[in-house]
Amino acid sequence: MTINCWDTNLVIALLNPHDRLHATAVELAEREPIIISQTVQAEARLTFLRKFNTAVIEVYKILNRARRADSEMELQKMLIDGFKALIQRRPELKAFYEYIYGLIQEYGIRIDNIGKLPRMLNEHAIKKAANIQLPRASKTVDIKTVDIDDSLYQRVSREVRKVNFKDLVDFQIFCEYCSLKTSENIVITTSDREFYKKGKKSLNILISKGIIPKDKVDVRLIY
Amino acid sequence: MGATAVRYGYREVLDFYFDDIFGIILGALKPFLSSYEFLRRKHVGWKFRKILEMRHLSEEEKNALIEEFITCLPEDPTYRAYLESYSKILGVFERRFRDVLPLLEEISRILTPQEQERIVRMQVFKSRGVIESLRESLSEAILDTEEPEQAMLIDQALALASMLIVEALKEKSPDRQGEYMLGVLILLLRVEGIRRGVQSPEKLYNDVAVISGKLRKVESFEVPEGLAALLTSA
Repeated sequence: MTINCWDTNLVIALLNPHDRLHATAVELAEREPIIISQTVQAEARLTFLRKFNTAVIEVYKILNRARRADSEMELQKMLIDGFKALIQRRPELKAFYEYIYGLIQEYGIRIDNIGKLPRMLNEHAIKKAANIQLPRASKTVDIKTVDIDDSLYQRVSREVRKVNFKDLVDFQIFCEYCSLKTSENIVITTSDREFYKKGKKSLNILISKGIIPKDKVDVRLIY
Repeated sequence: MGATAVRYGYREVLDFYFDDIFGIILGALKPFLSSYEFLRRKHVGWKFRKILEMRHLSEEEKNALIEEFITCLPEDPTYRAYLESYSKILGVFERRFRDVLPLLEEISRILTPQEQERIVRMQVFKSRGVIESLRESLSEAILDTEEPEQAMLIDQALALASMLIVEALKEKSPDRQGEYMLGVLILLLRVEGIRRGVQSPEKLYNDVAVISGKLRKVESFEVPEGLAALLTSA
């Protein structure tokens, strides 16, 4: 059996039906069990939070203006106009803004409680981000927590440091996957060409130094 | 002439709550620092006056301690780095308050396990109350501030800290409780670092992303279409 380890971009593709790799990710996930390291999970949460915050900042501008409404009716009109303008500017986020609008209405927005809305929206963001570690876009996906051999991780990371991965996160993801406590073969799957190239280069070093056996780990590029 | 309304941002709110945040940080590190009232009821309070003094450190002492704690914060967004950071923070405390350590040891022998658990729980309740109150004030400020993204991120970090505390209260295992409180400690110190301008919001983003993975899952996972679209939007 082979253990399939995913890079962050594939997790995001699995979560997002509009991603160009979504169908591939679903197909892969249905075909074979996958493992997603804690670093990949954290990176997916980070991506989600950054984007959520960038989009919600615009909502806060509407709420700030709406605080000056003279009546509850005017407040609702300001909200509707504000959200319409947002959707016109970012039509790709229409469903997201409608979702936020729904949350605000469900909360029971009034002129005197607008100041409390950021609190509710921020809690919502954290709960959604926390749940990203359990993606279940497909019912057959089997995602497990990675168990890492610490001493192997130390040896792997010492050698791989020389390869200069794009950033620390890519470096960690690669090292974690190479250090899994398993007797099975490992395939690291990515759609990032740079990660793929650096991964292949690192594997050559690790094999030549005898840190991991030949054919134990491979890197696969999906595009 | 009438007074001009002053806009206040997240820094002013955090300034206002500094003493309370300091108390939570110490409590997360050494919960028995809050045990004086229990000891007094056992008629041994006189032996532990030093513990009481910890509540009345000068502003300079508090600031120096927090600044040194902040230098121990993790650089890398991994749980391994967080555990190392915790050991360093503990090291700073033990070096600065050598005379308090034997007292804390003695307290753990004097108090029954039930009393110890009660102190930890009360400390945790109190911490949550402070964080929730701080968030109330911050929520108002988010709409006022000129740096809404930073204020929003800080509120999210505090929301996460509050959720971790709730989990810690449900948890029976002291190790798991410690894991949750480690998250609270790192988040609060990073927020303090941002307030002081010595830590970047980028680091707090990483903390929230890593630490939120420790939360028990409270709802079934679903990605509304709009949220999913966000993940690949520019």
